[in-house]
Amino acid sequence: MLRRRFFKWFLGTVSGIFSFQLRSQTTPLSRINTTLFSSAEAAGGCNEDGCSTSDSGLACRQRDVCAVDKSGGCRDDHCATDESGDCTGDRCTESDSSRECSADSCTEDKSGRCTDDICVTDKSGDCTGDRCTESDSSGACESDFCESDSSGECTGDYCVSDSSRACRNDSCMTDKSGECTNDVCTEDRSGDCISDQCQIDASASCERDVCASDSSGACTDDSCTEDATGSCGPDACLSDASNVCAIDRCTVDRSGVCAQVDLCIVDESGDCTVDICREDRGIGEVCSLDSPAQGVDRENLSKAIRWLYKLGSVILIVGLSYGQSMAQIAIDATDAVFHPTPAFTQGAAVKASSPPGPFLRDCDSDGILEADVNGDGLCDGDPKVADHRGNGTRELPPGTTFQGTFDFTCFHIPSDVAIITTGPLNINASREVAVFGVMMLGGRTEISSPEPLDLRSSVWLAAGGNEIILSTAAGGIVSSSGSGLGLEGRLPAINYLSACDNTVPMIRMVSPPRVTIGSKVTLKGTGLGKRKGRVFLAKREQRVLRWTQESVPMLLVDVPAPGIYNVKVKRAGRSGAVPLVMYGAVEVKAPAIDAASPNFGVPGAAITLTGTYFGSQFLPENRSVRAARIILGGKECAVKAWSWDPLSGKSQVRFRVPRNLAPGAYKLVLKNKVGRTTADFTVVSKN
Amino acid sequence: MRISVPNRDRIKYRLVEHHLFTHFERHILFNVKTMLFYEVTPLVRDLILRLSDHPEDHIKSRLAGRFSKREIQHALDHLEKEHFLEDATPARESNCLLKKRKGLRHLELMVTHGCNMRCLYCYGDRSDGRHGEQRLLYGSGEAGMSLETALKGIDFLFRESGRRKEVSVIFFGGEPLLEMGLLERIVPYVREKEMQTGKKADISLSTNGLLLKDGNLEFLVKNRISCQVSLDGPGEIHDRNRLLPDGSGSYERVMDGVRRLIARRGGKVPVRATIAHGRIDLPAIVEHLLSLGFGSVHAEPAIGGNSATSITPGDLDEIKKQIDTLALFLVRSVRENRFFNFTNLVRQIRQTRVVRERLAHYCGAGRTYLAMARDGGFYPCHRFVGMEEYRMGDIDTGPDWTLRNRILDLTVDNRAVCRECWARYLCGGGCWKHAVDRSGCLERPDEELSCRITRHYIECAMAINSELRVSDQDILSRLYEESTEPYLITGKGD
Repeated sequence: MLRRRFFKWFLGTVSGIFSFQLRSQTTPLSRINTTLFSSAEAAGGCNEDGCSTSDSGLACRQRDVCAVDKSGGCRDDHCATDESGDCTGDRCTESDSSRECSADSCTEDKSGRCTDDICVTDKSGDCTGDRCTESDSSGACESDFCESDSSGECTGDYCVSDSSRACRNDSCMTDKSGECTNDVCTEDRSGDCISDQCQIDASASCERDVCASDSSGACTDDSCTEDATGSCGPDACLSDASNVCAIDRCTVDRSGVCAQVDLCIVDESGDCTVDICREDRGIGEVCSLDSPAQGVDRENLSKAIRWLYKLGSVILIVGLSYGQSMAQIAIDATDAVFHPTPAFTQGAAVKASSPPGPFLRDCDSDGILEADVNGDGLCDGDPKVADHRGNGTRELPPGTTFQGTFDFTCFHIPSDVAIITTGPLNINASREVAVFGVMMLGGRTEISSPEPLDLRSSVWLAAGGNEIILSTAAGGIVSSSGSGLGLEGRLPAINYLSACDNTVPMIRMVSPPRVTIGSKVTLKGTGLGKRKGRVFLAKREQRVLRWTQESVPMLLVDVPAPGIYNVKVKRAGRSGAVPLVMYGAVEVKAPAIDAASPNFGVPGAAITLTGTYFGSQFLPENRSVRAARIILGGKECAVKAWSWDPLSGKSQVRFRVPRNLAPGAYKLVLKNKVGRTTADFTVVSKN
Repeated sequence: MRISVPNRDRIKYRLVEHHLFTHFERHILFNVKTMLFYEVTPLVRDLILRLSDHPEDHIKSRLAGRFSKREIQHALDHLEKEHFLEDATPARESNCLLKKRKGLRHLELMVTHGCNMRCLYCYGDRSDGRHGEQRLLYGSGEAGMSLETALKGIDFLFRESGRRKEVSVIFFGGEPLLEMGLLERIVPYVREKEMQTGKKADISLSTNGLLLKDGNLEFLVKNRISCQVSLDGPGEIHDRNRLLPDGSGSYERVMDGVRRLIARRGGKVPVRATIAHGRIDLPAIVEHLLSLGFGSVHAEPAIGGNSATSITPGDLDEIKKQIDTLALFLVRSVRENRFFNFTNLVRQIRQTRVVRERLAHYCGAGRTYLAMARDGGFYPCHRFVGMEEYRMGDIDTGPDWTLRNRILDLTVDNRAVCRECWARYLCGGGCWKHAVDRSGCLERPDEELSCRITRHYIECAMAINSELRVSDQDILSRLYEESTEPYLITGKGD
């Protein structure tokens, strides 16, 4: 009895302390903004404020936006001026008189010691290794990022303006010398901008350049970012307003006809279908990482994989996690070959106006790609892509090995490209990484990018035990949907690394983006909680199938009318008081009939109905209750077969015409819990 | 309002002026006095609602079914800490000192009242009302401003700007590029005045884009004249209201010059769209204009002027819905490290994120900002030109500051409607012209349209700030700093 009482008391005390601790960690009010006058008006000093004038409170810390900090303690702030003499690691923008301005973002440094900073003006005469942007009158502006160099010695710098008449091999924006050759001028008025990277070329003869704008009407084989000719052929246009953006690598396609063979980065048409778009910006559209583009990617992947099959000498079993079945694939793991476009290389030589992948480049302008197999950026002595096997396909010589560290601005493997390596591979991209194709890796592989890695529809084949490290600094998003992994029956060790704090509770992805009743949707995120919580779509609770910190698959059992809706997660326990919301996460689609085949029939005839988003035939919560019906002439039709693909929404139903229906024209109605759709149908007489 | 707070039955509290709302499924609580806003839990929301509606009730027992006593007490403690609950001693008068700035900074020169377009919603359609052969008269008189008047205006600006180091000259019309000859003589004079006084003068103009020919463009670029283009969106929307004298749409005619301008300015061109009654499609407008390469897009509803094109209260729900769509798109864009420079929202996001001051007035019209008509008459801004009751003297007889003093006194705390509005210090009281058009006087703002739209923008901005986390905010700050601001909008409260 005594023991029981003690136990009860003990439990009560412990749970009380525990609940107190929990409560004290929960903030019922989370402050969002700051004011520039709160320090003067509110007690507590300038802490995490946005002081505009000064902070003498010695409490101006970390997330403040002080314009002036006299506290002597301005660290990791966004001070415009720091008079503390200790401005280190800050973002001082006006001036730093501290003589200690190092590794800061000062716009002006009067200290004479502006080193490794991002000064706009450096009057020290010693602006070396800095990013001075205004002027450097030192005569020693070398390896800097000067905007203006009046020294006449602007060589190897990133001068914006060079009046020295000696602007060569620089990154001048303006060159008035008329000698802008092999430079990276953004403007060249010389009329002789050839082989340069001019942004504007008024010479009307911008050929083989990297012009940003070519109004000559003859932009051919260039890398124009804009082509006003309306006939942007085999270029690498960034913007093509011609409505015929085909076989290009447009990054933006506003034509709405960005079709199949394009490789749009952005599709603003709101109709990102059958393309290999990275993104669909149609307002209100939610073309997420699992966009319908994946279907096409699968098709191209199949081509790539079929090609791999031809190489075969070693038969290995690879399980494709996204595929419908296990596939037998023969892969020669000893060959390191590269095949750019297995589907389009019959007969003609391989040509590309810009590198399709990171390793290929037409260095010697002979129309044949060479491979930079050691990552040195040069292609001297590098092997050529040719039909080495004599089988009509183009590849690098058998046994070619990619080995080394590759530094790329962008690392992009299209979905119809397969890469095989035999040794370690390190890729450090300074911008985006997008792998849509096949990577067969014979050694340890490390790919890093400061931006999210987009591994949509990629297939990774790595010899068992080889480690794959995919790391990103931004957002922490590594999209790996649809990846098939593994060789020799063993999965490689794959590590997703992210500099971001993956403990931050956040919904990061919901897929597929278009749903209806019965859709199986997976919500991915971080910090979702260990215990099972609740998920709502437009305030309607859905059935959670499984719950982990990073992933919540669920079944949509109750969906609202067609439209774009938020998805809300209520985590278990007290943390659920503040729900996680992803806005515009999914679009609920109404059913739509494409065709009834045939669109006439005698009573009892079997008819096939095709369309999109018919959804489940039965309620997910109760398999004995129909969620969708087909009605003809007011009579319900008997359904023989019902199928739909939750990813693409494509649906097909086979039903029978009701037997006691009189001949005549009727409206065929398919209705489910989301909406209804109709088609014309004629019942004909048996005679 | 007095309440009893549990555990403190002897202490009476009052809830300070606040605004509680739910946007994008976030509960936001704004403290009007401190200008700080918070995302709050459902408990706090319920607590605030009950504190507002049932001041004397015993809150703990009312909420006991859903929350524990400790949770309620915890929330009350936080509300008190964040200055939402005050000791119910007689309320102190607000000690917020609103800055009433004066001293001229911006002068708008109405170099011509003529225009080569016949926009259906033009508020300048006043003196003759015809859309015939003649140029549409804007305000009074048709001919351009005389050089003498213009130069006197420039002298006046530099003189009246006092100790200000920066002034701005804005060429307005009508279509200012119709008077290129005049502009070519005024601009060197402004530069000369800069040299003499040591002040910096920003020169800008607002154009419909029809006359952005090579020669004019060269002049604008060479003389560092900022240029805002008026364009209403895609052709089918633009051509509904922005018509040429022959009644045809102007979109195609405008685009040549617009493309040239954007190319010359490297995209740093702001555009202003007017949202007219009818089929309103704000997302399409904003997306189209940004896709053309404009650096920023500002959209304003047509209010006043032609009643057929002015938006109506019936349009508001749709406009709000579309603003929400753009807000969500902006959040997504920021997260993807891209910028979606829809300035109506971006300005509010910035303003609510770090509140620099409590606004006394919406804009500088009549105080730091004056428009000078072609005859030398002064008005609070271009929209008032021709309205005699708002004339503020002229360049020859000197300014009449009676109206300025009246405007200075009309702070948000002194206007009856504004005084009751939670958003007053963020809004500043709304456009003076909208107030006059819709309510007939400066004192009463346009509650029915402008106020409701502004409050919605502010709520949206607060919700976006709540949604965007610290890392996102950094991205937003950087992108904003790299972006183009619409030049014509003077700093709020300026």
